[in-house]
Amino acid sequence: MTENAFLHEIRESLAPLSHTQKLLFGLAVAERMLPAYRVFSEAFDFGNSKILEKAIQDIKEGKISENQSAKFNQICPDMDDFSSNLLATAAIDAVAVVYELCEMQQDQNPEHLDHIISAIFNIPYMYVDDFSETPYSDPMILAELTLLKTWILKIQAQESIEIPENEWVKRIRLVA
Amino acid sequence: MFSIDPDKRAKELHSLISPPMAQNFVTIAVLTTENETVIIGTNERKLRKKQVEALLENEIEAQIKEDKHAEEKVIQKALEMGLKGKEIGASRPICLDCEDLIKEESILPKTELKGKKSKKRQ
Repeated sequence: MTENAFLHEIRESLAPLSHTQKLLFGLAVAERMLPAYRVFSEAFDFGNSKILEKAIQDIKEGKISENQSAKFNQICPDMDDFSSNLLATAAIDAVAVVYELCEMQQDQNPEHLDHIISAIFNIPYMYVDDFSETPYSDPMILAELTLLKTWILKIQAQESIEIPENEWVKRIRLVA
Repeated sequence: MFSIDPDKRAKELHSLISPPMAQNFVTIAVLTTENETVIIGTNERKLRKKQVEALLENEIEAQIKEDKHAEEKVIQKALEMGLKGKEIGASRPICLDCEDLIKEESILPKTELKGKKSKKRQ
C-alpha cells in the first residue's frame, strides 16, 4: 500500500463525520502522539508537555483557545539542535498536531485534519523505512491504520474511544 | 541540461512538510554538483515521504543519520560520492559552522547566511 492510498482510505472514512466528530478524532490523534513529546521532553529536559495537555483539555471542554502559536513555538525543538533525532521529529509533530487542532476548532477548515493524519504516520514511516522496502505494509503501520479506522467507527456510533499504549514511541526511543 | 536554483528548490521541498508548523523547525538543503547530480538533505533523520516522492530523476537523498545539519549532510554525501559541489541552497538561513564548511569546499551559497552558530553549538 502507498502513502497516498493509505491517507485516502482514512480521508474517505472521515468524510461523513461532523465537525465535532472530526475534532474528536483529531483529539485522539493528539493524545496518541503526546507520549512521544513527553518522552522527548524528559530525555532532553526540554520543553513542557503541560502546555499541550492544557490545550488538549481546553479543546475537549469546548473552550476557544486564543492564538497559542508563540507558546507552541517555544516548546518545539529545533532540528538543528537535535539533528537526525527521531524523537525530536516526533515531538515537533506532536506539538504541530495540537496546534492544527486549535486552528481547526476555530476555523473548522478540514485541511487541518489532513495535516493531522499525515503527522501520525510520519514517525512510524521514518522508523519502519529503515528496514522495510514496503513500509506501508509493515505490521506496525497497518496496526496504526486499523486503530484509526476503529476510532472513526466508534466516533460515528457515539461510543467512547480508547487510546492504547503507544508501541512506536517505545521503539523509536531505542533508535533516537 | 539541468539547471536549478538550489535555494528555490530547498524551499519547495521544505513546503511539503506537513503539518506546516513543523516547517519552522526543520531545514532542507540542496547541493548542485558538477555532474548535474543534485543532493538533497534534511536535518531530520530522513526526508519525509512526500518529499521523497517529489524528488526528480537527478536528485538523490543524503541519507546520513548522524548529528549533522542538512547542509553538512549534503556536502558529506558529495564527498563520499567523489562529486564536487557547486552551489548550495537551504530552506532557512545558513549557520556559521555550515558557512565555514561551504567556504572550505569552495561551494557558492545561494541562501542568506545567518552569521552565527546554531544554539546547541554556541
